[in-house]
Amino acid sequence: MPYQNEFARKTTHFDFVRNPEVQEFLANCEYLTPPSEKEAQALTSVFQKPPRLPEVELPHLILATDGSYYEAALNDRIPTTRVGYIKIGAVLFSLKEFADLRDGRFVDPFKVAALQDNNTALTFVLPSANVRLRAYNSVRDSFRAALDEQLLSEKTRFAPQNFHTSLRSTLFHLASRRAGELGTGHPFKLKLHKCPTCGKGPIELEDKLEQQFCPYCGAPVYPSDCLRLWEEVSDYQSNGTALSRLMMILEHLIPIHYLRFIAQKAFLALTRIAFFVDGPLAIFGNAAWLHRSIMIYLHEVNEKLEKKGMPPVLMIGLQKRGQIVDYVRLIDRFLPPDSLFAIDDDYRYKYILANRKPSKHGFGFETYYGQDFIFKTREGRSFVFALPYPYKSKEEPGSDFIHEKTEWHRYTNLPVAIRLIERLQTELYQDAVVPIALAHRYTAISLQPGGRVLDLLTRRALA
Amino acid sequence: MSTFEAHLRAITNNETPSIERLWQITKFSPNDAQREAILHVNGPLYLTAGPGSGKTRVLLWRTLNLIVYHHVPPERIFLSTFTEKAAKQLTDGLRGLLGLVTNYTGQSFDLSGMYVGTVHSLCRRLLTDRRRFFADRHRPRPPALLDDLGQYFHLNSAWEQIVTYAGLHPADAAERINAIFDDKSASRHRAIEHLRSAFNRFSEELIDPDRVQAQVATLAWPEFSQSDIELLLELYKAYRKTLEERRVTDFALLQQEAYRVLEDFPGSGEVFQHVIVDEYQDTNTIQERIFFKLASGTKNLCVVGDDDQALYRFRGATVENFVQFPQRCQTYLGVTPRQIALDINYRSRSHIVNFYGRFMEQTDWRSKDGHTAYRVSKAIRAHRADAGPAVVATTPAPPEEACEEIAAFVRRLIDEGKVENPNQIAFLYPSLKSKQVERMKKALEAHDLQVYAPRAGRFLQVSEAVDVFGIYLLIFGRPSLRGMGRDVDDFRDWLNDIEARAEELRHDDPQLAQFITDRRAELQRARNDYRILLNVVARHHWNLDAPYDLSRMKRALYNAPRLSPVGQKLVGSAYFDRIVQKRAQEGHPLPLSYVIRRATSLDWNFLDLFYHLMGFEHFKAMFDQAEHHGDEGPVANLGLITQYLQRFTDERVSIITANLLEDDKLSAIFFNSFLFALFRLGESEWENPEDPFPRGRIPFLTIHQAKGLEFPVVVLGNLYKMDRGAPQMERLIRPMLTRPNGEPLERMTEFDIARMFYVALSRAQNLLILAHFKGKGQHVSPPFKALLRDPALPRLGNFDIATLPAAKLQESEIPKVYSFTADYLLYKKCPRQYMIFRKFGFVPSRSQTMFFGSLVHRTLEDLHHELIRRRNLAAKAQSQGEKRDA
Ligand SMILES: [Zn+2]
Repeated sequence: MPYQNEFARKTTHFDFVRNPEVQEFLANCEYLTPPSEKEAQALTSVFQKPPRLPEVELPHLILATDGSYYEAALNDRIPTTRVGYIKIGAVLFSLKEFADLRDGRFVDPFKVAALQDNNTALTFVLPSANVRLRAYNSVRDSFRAALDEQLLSEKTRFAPQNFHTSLRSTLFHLASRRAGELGTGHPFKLKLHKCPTCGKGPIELEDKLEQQFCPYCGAPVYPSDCLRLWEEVSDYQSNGTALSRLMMILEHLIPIHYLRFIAQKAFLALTRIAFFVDGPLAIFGNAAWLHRSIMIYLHEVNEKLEKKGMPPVLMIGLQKRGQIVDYVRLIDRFLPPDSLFAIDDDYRYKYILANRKPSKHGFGFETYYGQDFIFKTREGRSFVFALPYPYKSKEEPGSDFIHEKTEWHRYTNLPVAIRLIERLQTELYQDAVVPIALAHRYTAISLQPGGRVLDLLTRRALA
Repeated sequence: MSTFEAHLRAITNNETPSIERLWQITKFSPNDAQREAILHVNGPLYLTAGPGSGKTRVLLWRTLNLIVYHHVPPERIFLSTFTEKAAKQLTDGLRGLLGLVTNYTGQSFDLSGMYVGTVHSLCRRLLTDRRRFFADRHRPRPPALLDDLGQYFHLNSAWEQIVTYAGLHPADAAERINAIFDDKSASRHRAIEHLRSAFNRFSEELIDPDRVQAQVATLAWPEFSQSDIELLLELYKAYRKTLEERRVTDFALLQQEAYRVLEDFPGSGEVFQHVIVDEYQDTNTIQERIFFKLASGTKNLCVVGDDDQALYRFRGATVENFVQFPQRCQTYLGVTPRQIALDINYRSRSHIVNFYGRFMEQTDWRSKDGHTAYRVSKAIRAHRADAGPAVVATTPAPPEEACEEIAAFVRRLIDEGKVENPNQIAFLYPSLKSKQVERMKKALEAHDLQVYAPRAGRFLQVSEAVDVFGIYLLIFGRPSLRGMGRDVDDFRDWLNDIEARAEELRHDDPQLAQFITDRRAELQRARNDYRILLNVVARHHWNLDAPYDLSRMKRALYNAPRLSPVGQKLVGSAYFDRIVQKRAQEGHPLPLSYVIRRATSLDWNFLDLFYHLMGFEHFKAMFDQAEHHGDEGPVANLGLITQYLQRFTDERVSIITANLLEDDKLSAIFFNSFLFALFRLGESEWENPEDPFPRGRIPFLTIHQAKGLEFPVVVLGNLYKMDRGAPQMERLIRPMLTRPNGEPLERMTEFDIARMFYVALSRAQNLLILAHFKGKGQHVSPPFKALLRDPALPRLGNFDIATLPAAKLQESEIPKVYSFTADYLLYKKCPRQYMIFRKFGFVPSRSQTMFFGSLVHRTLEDLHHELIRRRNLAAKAQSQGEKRDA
C-alpha cells in the first residue's frame, strides 16, 4: 500500500469541493470533518498513558510484509489488454542490524546492501483484462490457474522439494480450520463452497500436485478457489479489485506461513520475532472467512506458548492510511505525547465512521482479527496499529467480546509492542516505522516512487 | 534457496540460550556443588552424591552441557546407569531438555548414537559395534545373552554335560557340589544356584581358572579343600565350554568379552570423549576395568555414587571401587580426580536426615589400626527447613502389638489425607520372606488396607497367577509330576490349588467353561490329526526327514481318513504349496516332518491365550477395578504374568505344534519345567526393579527394590538383619584375587547391614516409622540400639499427626517425554489400553494386540449394554411387582 504522501495529488481538489452541486449534496451527508478545539479535547480525553514495564525484552528479529500491485496495459496502443503484477516484500532483519544501520548519523551503504541481499520480493503475475492463458477460455479461468500455480510454486516454499511447505499449503492449514461444513479438520484438505464452473458444492480438495476436478461437472477446480477471488475477475475490464484483494490476502497469509514453519522448526524462536503487517488485522471481501481461521490458528500457537510460560506471538498490524489514519491526522495536534487509546465500537461509530449505524455483532465482526490502537509516542509521532484479539473466536461463551476486546490488560504484548514501535519509528514518513518502510522498498514496482524509500533512508540520517 | 527458506534458516538459527537461562526456564536452581559438577568438563570427576541430592538432575545437565555447550557429539558419550529404567529416564530427560534447545535454535540432536544403558546392555552394544571397535569388520556375531533366569535354565539343561566334563557322575553330582557349600541337600536346583553365584563371581573377578588351578597348592582357604576348589574350577571351565557350544553367554562373561575387545582394539581409550558412570558404588571389578579402559585416552571419567548406599556385594559389587576412586584414578589414569560432594538433601525433612546421619556414626568405619577409612566422610544437610519430628518408632512391643499400632496409624494417615494414595506409604524390609511381613500384612488387612507385595511369598501364589495358570492347567491338562522333596511337594500342592480354583471359575462362568472346552477340543483336534498323518506316513513308508514331495504326498495326506477339516485346509493350502515349491527351487526343500507339524499347529500361543482370557468377566472386573475404583493391584499382577508368558513364548514354545501335545509334553514343559523353576526361584529374593506401584495398594518392598526411590511415608518393618559373617562366596573368592583386598572379611557384613538400613532410612520424605519389636526372640541390629534408647526419639503413641505435612503427588524432577503416538494418541484412543500397555508394561501378544484393542472396547461396550439390560430388567421386574401389588 502506498504511503499517504507518496502520490502528490495535483488535482485541484479545492475547486471541486467548492462546486455548489457538490456542496448541496454534502449538506445531506455525514462525513468526517475536522473537530473544533472543544470537540477535540473531549475526543482526546479517552487517551491514557500507555502501559509500560520497567524492563521489556524486545524481539530480536523483525519480519515485515508489505505489498504493491499494479495493472498495466501490455501495449500502449491496446490499453484494454492488461496484465496484473503483485509484489509482496517480506523483509527480515534484526534489531541489532537496525541499530547498526543507524549508527551515528551515517548509514553504512554496505549494510544496506547486505540487507537487500537477504530479502527479495515475491512476484505474482496474473492475467487481467483480455489476457488468457493458452488452453483457457476465459480470463477468469486463466486467473484461477495462474494464481494456484504461483501459490504452489517453489518460490513460496520453505523447503523447495516439499510442496506441503508452499504458501498454498498454509492456505490449506487455515481453510481446514473453518467452522461448520466447510472445515475439514485435516491440514491437507479444504473445501470449496462451490464449483466456479457449475456452482455445485461443497467440494473437498487435497493438497496435492495433480490437477483436481469438480465431481459434479468435471471442470478443473483449484484449492485457491476457496479465496473466491474468481468471483471478482472479469474478462474485459480492469481487475484492480481482485488484484488488490489478493495482495491484501497475501499480506496476511505470508506472516502465518512464516509462523507455521517457525513453530515447526524452532518453536521458541517465535518468542524472539515480531511480525509487522501492513494495514489493520482484518481481511475484507469474499475471503473474509480467513480472518476466523487466522484467529483460531494464532490462538492454537499462543496456547502452546502459554504452556511453556511464554507470551503470545507478537504480530502488529500497522496502518499507513485509511479512515483511522485520516482521523488521527485530524485530532493529532490535540493528542498529548505518550498516550494510547484502544478504539472501542462506540467511539469508532460515532467519531471515526461519522455516525454510521453500529453493527449488531460489533465492528468488524466478519473481517477483523485484531484490535486497533491509536498511539502517540513520547517523541510525538502518532501510529495506528493493531494487535491480534486474544480470543479463539469472537463468540466464545462467557465472554463479552465487544467490551473485553478493548481492555489493555488482555493484550500481554501491548507494552512490548509500544516499546518496539517507539524503537522503530522514523521521521522518514509520517506514521511509518522502519520495517514497513523496508518491506515497502522491496515491493515497489519501478513505476512507483516507493522504490526510493530505502534510498531515502540511506541518504538521510535517521533521527 | 527461496527467500522463505533463507529467512526460516535465519530465524531459527538463533544463538543458543545460556545454560543459566535454561535453568531459569526449567525452574532449576542448582546449588553451588551441583553447578560446579554440571559445568565440569575435562578430567576425571568424583561425585559423591548423598541420598536425594539431585544427582540424576546433575548428570542430566552435565550431559546436556557437554553436548550443547561443548559440542560433544552424543555418540561420543558413554553413560552407564544401574537399570534400564534409569537409562530411559535419563534419555527421556535429556531429550526433553535438548528439545528445549531445539525449540530455540532449530538445531536438532540425535541421541540414538549415544551409549546409554546398563553396563550389560552397553557391553552388548559394544560387541556389535563393528564400526567403532573392530579393526576387522568381519567378526562373527556375538553369542546370545542369557539373563539370570536364562542362565539358570541353561545350567539345568546342560547339567549332565557340565558335571560329566568335570568328572562327576550325574547321579550324585548335585550332592557333591552342595557339600562344598555346606549344604546337605541333594537338590539339583540348589546346586545350580550355588554354582551360578560362584561362576558369576569368577567371571566378574576375571579369575583365570588355569592360573588358579596352577596355584591352588600355594593358596589357602580356611574352609574349602583344594579338591573342592579344583572341582569348582573344572565345573566353571565346563560351564563355559557349554556356553560356547550353544553360542550363548551370561552377563558376567559378556563383560569379560567386551573387556577383551577393548584391550585388543588400539583406539578403545578414545572412542568415547566422556565416560560417565552412575551408581558407581555398585560396580564390580570387571566393570571398573572396562570404565578405566574406555577413559584411558581422554581421562574424562566421571563417576557418581554413594558408598553408604552400596547394596550389591552379592552380585560381586565392590564398594572400594568407589571409596578408593581417587587412588585408582592415579593408578590407571595418572591423575587425581576433581572431587565434588553433593551433600544437600532435597528429599527428606531435617529430622530424617539427621537421624540417618547419626545412624551411620554408630558404626566405626575405620580399620583396626585406624589407617584405612572404609567410608567417604560426608556431611549431609537437609534443604527442607522444617524441624518437626519426622522419625518415629512404635511403642516397644511384641510384633503383633507393634504391627497393630502401625496399621492403625497408617489408617489414620490415609483417612486424614496425609497421603493422597496408599501407594505413597512404603513398607521396607531386609527380606520379604519373613514372618514379620506376614504379620504386618495381616494387621493392615484387618484395617481394610490392601497391600501390594507380589514378591512376598511366591509370585505364583498371588491370586491372579493362581487364576490364570489354573485355567491353563484345565486347558493343557495336568502333567504327571515325579520326584520328591519339599519343593516338589509344595509345587504339587500349588497345582492342586490352582486346579481347584480354576474349577470354581469354570463353574461360575458358563462362557468361560465353553471357552475351555473349545480350546481343549482344538488341542485334541491337533493331536488326532497328528496321529492320522503319521499313520499315512507309516503306511507309505515315507521318511519324515525326507523332503516333502508335493506331487507324491499331498493327496495322500489330504485324503487321510478322519482328518479334520482344519487339518485338511492346512494340508491343502495352495499358498503353502507355493512356499514348498519355492523352497525346493532354492535348494532348501521342506522336510515332511515340517509339513506335518505345520498342519497340526494351533493359531494361538500361550501369550495369546492370556489375552483371550482377559475378555471373561472375572478378569474384566480387574481392569474395571483399576479404572473405576482405584485399585490397580490385580492389573499390576496381570502385567507381571504377561512378562513371564512372554519369556515362555520367546524362549521355549512360540508355536503350539501337535508333536508337543503327545504325552502331555507341552504341559510338562510349561508346568514342570518352566513354572516349577519360577516357583523355586520365587523362594529366593526375586527382584525386579521395574515392579510397579499400583494405586490403591500399600507397597511392600525389599530395601534393595527401594533403591533410588522415595516415598512420603516409609515404614521400616524390621530393624534386624542377622550378621552371619562374610558371605561364603567372599571367603571363596578372596584368596584367588590379584587385586588389592577390600574390606576385611570379618567386618564386611557389619558394614553391609549398616548400608542397607541406611538406604531404607533415606527413602522417607516426610515421615519415617520404625517398627520397634521387643520381647522373646526379637532383636534389632546394633546400630539401632543406642538410637532406640534415646528418650528424645518420638513414639507413635504420642506423635501429633497434625504436625505432619500432607504428601503431594510430586512432579518428577526429570522432565518426562511423552510420545505423540505412543502416549497421546493411544491414550486418546483408549485410556484402558494406555493404562495396560504403557503403565503396567503388559507385553502385547504379537497376534493379539489388535484383538485386544477391540476387546477392551468391546468390554466397555458390553458393560454398557449389560447395564442397560439390567436396568431394563429391573424396571420390568419393578413394574411387574407393581402390577402384582395392585
Ligand atoms: Zn463443477
